[in-house]
Amino acid sequence: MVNVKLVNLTKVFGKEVAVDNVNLEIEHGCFFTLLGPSGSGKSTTLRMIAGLEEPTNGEILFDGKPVTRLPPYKRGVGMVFQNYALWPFMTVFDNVAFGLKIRKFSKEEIKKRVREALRLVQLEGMEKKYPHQLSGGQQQRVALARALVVNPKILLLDEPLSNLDAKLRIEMRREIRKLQRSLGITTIYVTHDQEEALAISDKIAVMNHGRVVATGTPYEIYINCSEEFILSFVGHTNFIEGKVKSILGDGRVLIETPLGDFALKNAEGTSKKTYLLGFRPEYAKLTKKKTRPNAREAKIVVKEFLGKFTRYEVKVDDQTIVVDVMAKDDPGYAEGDAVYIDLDEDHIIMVRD
Amino acid sequence: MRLKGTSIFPPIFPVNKLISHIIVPISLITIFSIFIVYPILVVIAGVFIVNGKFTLANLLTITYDPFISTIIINTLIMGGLVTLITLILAVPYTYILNRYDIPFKSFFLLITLLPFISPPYVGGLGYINMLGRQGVISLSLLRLRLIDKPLEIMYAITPIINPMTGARIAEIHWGLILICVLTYFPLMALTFLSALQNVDESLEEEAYILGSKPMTTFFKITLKSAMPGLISGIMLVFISFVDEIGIPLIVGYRNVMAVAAYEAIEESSFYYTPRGYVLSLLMITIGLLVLFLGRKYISLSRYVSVVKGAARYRKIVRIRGIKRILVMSFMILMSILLSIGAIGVIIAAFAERWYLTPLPTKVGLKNFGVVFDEYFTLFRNSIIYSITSMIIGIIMSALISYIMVRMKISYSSVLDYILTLPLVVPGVVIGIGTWAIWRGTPLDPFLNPITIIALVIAFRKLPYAFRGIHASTLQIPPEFEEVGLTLGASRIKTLFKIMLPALAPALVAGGLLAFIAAMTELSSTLVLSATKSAGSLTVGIFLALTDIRHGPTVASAIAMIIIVTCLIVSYLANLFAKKTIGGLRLF
Repeated sequence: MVNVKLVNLTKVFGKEVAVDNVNLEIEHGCFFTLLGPSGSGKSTTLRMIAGLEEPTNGEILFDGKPVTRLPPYKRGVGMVFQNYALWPFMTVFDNVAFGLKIRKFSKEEIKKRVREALRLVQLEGMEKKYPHQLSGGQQQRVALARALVVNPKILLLDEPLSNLDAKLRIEMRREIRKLQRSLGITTIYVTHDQEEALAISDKIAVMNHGRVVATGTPYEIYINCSEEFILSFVGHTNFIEGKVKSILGDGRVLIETPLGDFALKNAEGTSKKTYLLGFRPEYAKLTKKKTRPNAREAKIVVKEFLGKFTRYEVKVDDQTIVVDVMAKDDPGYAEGDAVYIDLDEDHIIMVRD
Repeated sequence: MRLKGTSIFPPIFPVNKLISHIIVPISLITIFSIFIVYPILVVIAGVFIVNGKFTLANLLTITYDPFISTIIINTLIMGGLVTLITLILAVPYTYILNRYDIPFKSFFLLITLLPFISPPYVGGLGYINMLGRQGVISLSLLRLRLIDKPLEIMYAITPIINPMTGARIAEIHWGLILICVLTYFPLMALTFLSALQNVDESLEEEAYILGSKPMTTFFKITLKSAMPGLISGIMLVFISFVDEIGIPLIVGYRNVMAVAAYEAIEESSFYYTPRGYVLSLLMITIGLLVLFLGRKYISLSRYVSVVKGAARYRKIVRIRGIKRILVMSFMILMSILLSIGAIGVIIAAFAERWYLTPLPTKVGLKNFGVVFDEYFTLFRNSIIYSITSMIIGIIMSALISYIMVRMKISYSSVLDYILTLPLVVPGVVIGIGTWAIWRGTPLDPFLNPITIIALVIAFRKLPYAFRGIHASTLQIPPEFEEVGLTLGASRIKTLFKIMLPALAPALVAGGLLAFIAAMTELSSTLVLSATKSAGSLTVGIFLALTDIRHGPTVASAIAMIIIVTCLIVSYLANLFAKKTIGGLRLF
């Protein structure tokens, strides 16, 4: 088990800054996810940790020792790629045994370890098959076994699930998580799928334009974060403009918005005239009658039935707001219906700029 | 996301980068250039520099020497005609093959491949056997009293007269055009076929939905989308004609550039001859023009996309009634024309007695016996040249492809240009330049012909090995090696344990293609083999034709040996090509 530290890590390709001054500390045994849209620099960061890309600037430390100038084959990491990169001309056994052969293990030892690794990923008896004879999920497991069989210090996973179908993706992410827990191996996982990141990680670093925008547990990232980028990238957030009406005595400010007036806690203590506010679609209610004075008139524009909840797109004046209603609470509005929208004051976030 | 073109060779050790990015690629390309670029430069210099002084006198002969100007006009006009006729025949043939529900499709496809695997002018030998004055068809028609004079189509010449002066400015040799059209037909058909297969079907469907008629759709959508393939076909055919030396020699016509240049240099006993050099310069100019104008279309790296969509599903159009009869007649007529050459070669190869009768009066294996008795050296030479081409082709292509694909070198487009040169610069020119360079050295073609010919052929045929190997290298994901690196293998180890096995089938297939290309090479061998003992089997065909004891039957037997060898090798090449990553197809 190893902890990983990135210090001022920067990578420039030509004129393009792919990774911009990234500082991260990944504790040993942690399942750490780099989450971001494509082009955010997350894969490049991972490749620098693996040694496949040399940083333009900065240091990478494993357990406090710098490895920045070390070639990949001296770093002792295991890596799984998005396309699995299984060698098509080798059997499953030979694929998994590659790292052991390089390390000059004895024949018996190699056999034993390969069998053990394949058992770990539930692929016993598949030794003699070739990659093209396996399903996508099985190929993924072989890639995982090949990375794990050499007992790497760190496991690096670069979008490993994005080539699988939706159901298998959820199954495999549970398995990867279980495997990681039982081995206790420090794992760095790269994905653009925020749901996957929330489900699988101990900690998440959200990246955008080569920079780390925020780090935290999945809960912190989803619930507490007030960064505009994260609010819109992780899940959906409705944004509304608010004007300060008055400052209340208890550290709160009364803000006027198109959706009503709200008394919000001013956590940052800034004194601005206008604020950008955000709230998640599940923290608004739609009602037929006006139940509270703060509720505003709204018109249903689009209705999307998504199974466990219904997503309504409503118009309030000329602002579009998305509201999620759990299926069991859904009165079943139709497109064109006039309703009232009412926000949950406790879940309105003042967006940081 | 990973950025495109990222190198897996981080410059962790600057020394390594110097070797891998500069020293190795530059030395490879230097070796290549010695045998391809240097001869071209020597020929160009030979035109402008005489006795150490710069002069335009040689170049100006174009303006007053009627022989040179006739030859230029002949070559351009006939090259244009050949290209045009090939185009007019190949486009419908390919389109029908690709889109209509006609029977015997694989047969019609196979027929187009036939001239492809036999040396081009060998077909010419067959056409003479069939259509010549004393050919099968001419003599049959005479027997049947359908004609009273032998067929002259293979020798008919139409002069082009300047109406102002009444002087003959050029001529059209129809036999030459006929054989060239039929020989180059596959080049056009196959490039157009892969382009057709890559046309997005939905584009055509969209046009139909919007009310476009089939003809309009064909010209406005299909043909336009397949244009790059068509242009590459046009250029290949035109360049092949400029380069052609075998077919004119077989029909006995000498007034085209390549032949005239060859004869000029031969008459001067392989020393400096202004006329040969000026003609060579012109051929280089045409080649370079094609290279720069058509760069987009004949780029070696483009080959990948041409190959990729080879097996795509395509909706087949049903045709009935009179249209079906017309289409089938056209296909049958074309396939007869395309196969006549091969049939002619086969009949003659087995003919033991054949004198002024439509068919041989005695058949047997005697001709092959003669070949093995008297032309065995040439057979041995051919094998030496082919194997050298295979080995050099594999090693050079593997190294250069790997460097071009995996390392971000700034001059990789320059490499691509240089490697394409042998496809556009005629072998005669390379041969003439090679004489000038190596006279009086240990590699003098008079003293040591086998070595220099083997090397020249090998580098001239390098593109045939290179394009398949390069395409395959592009298909291998960089992650293959990167996984190896993370698992503890050094770069050398990943190169040998991962990259080499991954590329192996492509290397073998590419090597075999270079083997075939070398086996069928004629022009530079003809120029460089000053003595009979250095020639290849292809040169042997001409030796046999001009030897009164042997003649066309023995020449045909030699041709058959070449064809059979190439058939076997191309079958093997295809077997390996199927195993390459990404399922590269060669034909």
